[in-house]
Amino acid sequence: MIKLFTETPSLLQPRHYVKFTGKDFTDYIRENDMFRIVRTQQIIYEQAIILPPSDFTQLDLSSETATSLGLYPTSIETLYEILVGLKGGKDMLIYIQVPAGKFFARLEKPELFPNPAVPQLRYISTIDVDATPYKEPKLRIHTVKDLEPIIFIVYNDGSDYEKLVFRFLVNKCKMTRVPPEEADRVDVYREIEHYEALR
Amino acid sequence: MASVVVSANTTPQTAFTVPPNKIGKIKLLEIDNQEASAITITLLDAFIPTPSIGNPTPAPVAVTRKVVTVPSGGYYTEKLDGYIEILGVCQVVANAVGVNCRITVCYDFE
Repeated sequence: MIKLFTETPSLLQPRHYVKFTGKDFTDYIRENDMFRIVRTQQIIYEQAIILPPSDFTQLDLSSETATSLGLYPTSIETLYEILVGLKGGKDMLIYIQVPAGKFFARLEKPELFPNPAVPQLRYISTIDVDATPYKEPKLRIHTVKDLEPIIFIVYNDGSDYEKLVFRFLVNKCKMTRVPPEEADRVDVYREIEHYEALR
Repeated sequence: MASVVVSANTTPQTAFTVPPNKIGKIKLLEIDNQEASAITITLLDAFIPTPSIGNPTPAPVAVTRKVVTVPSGGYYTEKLDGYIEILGVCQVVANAVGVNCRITVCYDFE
């Protein structure tokens, strides 16, 4: 569901299959449910933030509030596949939480959780412009309606004001549920793993 | 690459405005001071920061990016190659008004 690649991943296309694994995603997308992509449309959406040094802000990717970015579908038959690219802000660090307060990626040792306020913990599971460049995005996120909000914590680790530009390439996918008897015969599909599968 | 010419003024003069999804890079700065006295030129970057944990309701700020003093009759030029970044609005302000002191700013957006 949230994945950092070493190369820019390809986008879902009509007639591709997706399978949701690891856990129930919502009341209508259960573990191991399979869907077929029917139609796709690509939308580019850019946002920028300017932060002073040693300060941080939060970006809510969901569509829940007036200030959230609206990167979650409002229809249960839509999947958003989002590639996130970054520009500028060479000292900006991004931590991903889902839901708010729970870091998506962390090491298993209990005290090794990301914390920008503590220098030894500041660089655990951070994403920066080198990891997912603006024109070659490598961070991929899948969102569906009613999924818990994904939060970007953005921290300025530099010594001056910095501007970070986010480029969200949203692949809006209309999908239709595949009956279990047909799903059993599908060999090639994209697995979308719940964010708690490895936490 | 674009360029703009402004005259020395004690009121900040807008050289260019950076689009919200871009970062401005100053490539070249030229100052031709044909006034009777030396003039100090300051490049400012004016913007409103994003609300943050440290400052939920930020006020507009103007950060000084470069200060140059050019003597009377002097000519200053510096190739900056983009190492001065402008996040919001690039403004030029001087310590004196001088219609015969011309400031040329060459810039690009990335």
